[in-house]
Amino acid sequence: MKIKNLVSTALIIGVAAFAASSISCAFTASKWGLDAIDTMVTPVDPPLTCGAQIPDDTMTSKRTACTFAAGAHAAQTLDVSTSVSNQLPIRHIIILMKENRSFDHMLGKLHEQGQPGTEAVPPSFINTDSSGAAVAAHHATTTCIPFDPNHQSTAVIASVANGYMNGFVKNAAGSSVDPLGNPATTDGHYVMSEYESADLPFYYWLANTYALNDRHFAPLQSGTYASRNFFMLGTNAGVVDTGISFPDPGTNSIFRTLMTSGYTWGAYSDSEPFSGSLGWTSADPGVHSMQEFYKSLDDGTLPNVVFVDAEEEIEDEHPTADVQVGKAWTRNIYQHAIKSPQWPRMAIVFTYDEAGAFADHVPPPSSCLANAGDSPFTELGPRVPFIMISPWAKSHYVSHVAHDHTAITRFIETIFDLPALTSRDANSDALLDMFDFSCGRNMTPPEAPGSGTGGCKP
Amino acid sequence: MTVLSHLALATFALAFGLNSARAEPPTLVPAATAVTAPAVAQKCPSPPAGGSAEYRSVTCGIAIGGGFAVGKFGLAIPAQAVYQTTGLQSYDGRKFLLQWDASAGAVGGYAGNEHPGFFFVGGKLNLSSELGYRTMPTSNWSPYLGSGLNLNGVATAVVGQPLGTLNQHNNLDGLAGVYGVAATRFSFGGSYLDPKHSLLLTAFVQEALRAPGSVASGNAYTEVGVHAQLDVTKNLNIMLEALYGKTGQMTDPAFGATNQGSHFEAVASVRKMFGKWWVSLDGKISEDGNKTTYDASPLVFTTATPLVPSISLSVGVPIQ
Repeated sequence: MKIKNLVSTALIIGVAAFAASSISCAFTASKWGLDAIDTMVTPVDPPLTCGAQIPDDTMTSKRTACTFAAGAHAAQTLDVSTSVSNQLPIRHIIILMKENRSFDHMLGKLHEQGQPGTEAVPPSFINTDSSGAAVAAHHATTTCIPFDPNHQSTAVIASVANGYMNGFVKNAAGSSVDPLGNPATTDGHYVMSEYESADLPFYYWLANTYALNDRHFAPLQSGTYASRNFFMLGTNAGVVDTGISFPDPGTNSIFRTLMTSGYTWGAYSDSEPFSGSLGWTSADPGVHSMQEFYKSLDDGTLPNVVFVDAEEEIEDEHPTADVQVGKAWTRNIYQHAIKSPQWPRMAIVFTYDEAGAFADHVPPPSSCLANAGDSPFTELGPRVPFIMISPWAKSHYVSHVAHDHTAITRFIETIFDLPALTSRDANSDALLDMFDFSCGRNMTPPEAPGSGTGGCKP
Repeated sequence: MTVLSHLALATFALAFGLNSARAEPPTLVPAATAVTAPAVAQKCPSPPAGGSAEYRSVTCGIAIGGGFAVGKFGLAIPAQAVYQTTGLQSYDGRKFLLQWDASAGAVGGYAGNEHPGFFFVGGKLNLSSELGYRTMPTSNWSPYLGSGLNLNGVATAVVGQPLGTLNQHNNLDGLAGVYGVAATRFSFGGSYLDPKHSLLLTAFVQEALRAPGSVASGNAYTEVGVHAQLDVTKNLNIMLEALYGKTGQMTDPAFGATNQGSHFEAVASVRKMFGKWWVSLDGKISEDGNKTTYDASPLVFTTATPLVPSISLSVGVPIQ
């Protein structure tokens, strides 16, 4: 009998160890089957041409009605034929996606400070705090806001408040954490703060110099993981909030559609690529260091599409990071880019993955369901800054076309004539109103101002 | 730790158990004088038994337990309270062998796949049964042919959320959300029966309908596997199973691609009766894969999810 008890004990320990030790496997990098990217060669750029004419967009109403499905090309949804795509001079796209800042928070003073074409923050836009006091937009007193509000789905949905946009302060008051991630005591007023041109001279200069969109919304009312999934996969891919849940590696992606058409991509980061949303590490195919990025940029050997992610909560501007440190990182990339041999073929998309529960006054519109059966995230999230930096970007231009991150996806698909991943990107515009491909454009960029030196100064 | 080391560990545990069992050789009792099952088991509702020569090992009762699971859905800490009956019983002079594991009840728990996580509650139903034919019923060892059915479903709601918004939360691939598997299988192998012990070793082929998971769409899989069920004694039962299967080739006209899904899982279960109650420990690992071939490209994308492990420990109280 004693031996039988030993038997059962051994078996139970065996099964427990068998299952428990497997847990570590779940956190390793997913197997996305993208190994071929490390041996692919970026196709030689065709001769630089100019004068491509973008046809008038006659498909807006059809896209608004979510007419188009996965697989649709720009020729079907935007009247941009393959021959027009081939004439477009852009062949290298850099995506600089920062973290967790709303449009009003970063560029809320742009209307008064250089770009009257953007919508001003209305004086009537207020949130009430938990004591009932009205909180209006106000100047931020530091570039190192010491709080981070909850910015996952329940918090953002409560902040948007069915389009009243009046739940931000209360959400921040009830959910903020300090730089160590501990619950913080705050009245939440800080989410109504705005930076001005003097605080962020380089960002205000970018917004005034290149093409800006003041109707670019986060793709859903949630956090980093789901927001970034929309950009790479055209869907949140089953991920609702940021945490430890990753998309199925079998999900179709912009990586695949680029590769199957013979184009290359690269993810560059000294931290987690895509802010950890795919669970990738530096060991995954297609992932490279920032040192390699700068070298490729300087040498003119960048892949066709480049994803650059800053060090988390230091350079990526995710609260509680110093925005000036992140701005310096962005400026450094810009300075390398304009000197790159690939600058004449380049477009840099500068944006933020989501608003991070910082206040914005524009109610988000709805969009298309990505796939039948997906979580019904058709309501977009609050606005984020969006600037198209390119020698072909219209100068000092403001686009008011409403879209989300899948417009970046659609832009890539249009440039390289790729099929849409889901209904979401199939029915998006492709940012083309932000460009002027006519001949005679000045390829030499103007001098950029300094970026500030950090140190938590306004 | 690699998969192989997991398997080695489990194999070691199994081997240790078998060796220990051998240290106390089972008493071979003539079939006609076979010891009947414990009184507790006799009161379990089960198919009518044959004569006293038949093998019968049945448990039933309320099982309460909890566990821990990790997967592409995130983390979950599930708990359950179910009525469960399991059994292995022979008929017609040990010519036929029926095995079953059925349970129904409530499940609940906490899912950590969102920030913050959420509590869920709901119900589950499991019905697994197989009827086999022993070609040499008078012999302890016999070739075995069987056919089985497996139905497994769970439906849960998120506490505090309207039912209409449930799909705003991640599906938990069988631990929560709405999920189900239906499978029919054909088995062949060998069966050992003596009055106190049973060992069933089979290979099987099955067709399984797996409901949509956290991302993957629902599909039919053709699967092959191996199954071992050992009653070291009637109070100590061990089950090990591993299977691997693939879907058919599925065309995706939007992308000019062909997809083929794959599924692997291995389960291990140990149940020990202690007088009037039992302890059951169940472990499982699974992995889903996909192979996509594009007509217009030489590239093939072969993907796999991380291994999804889960473990649960439950305590059962027999119904007297």
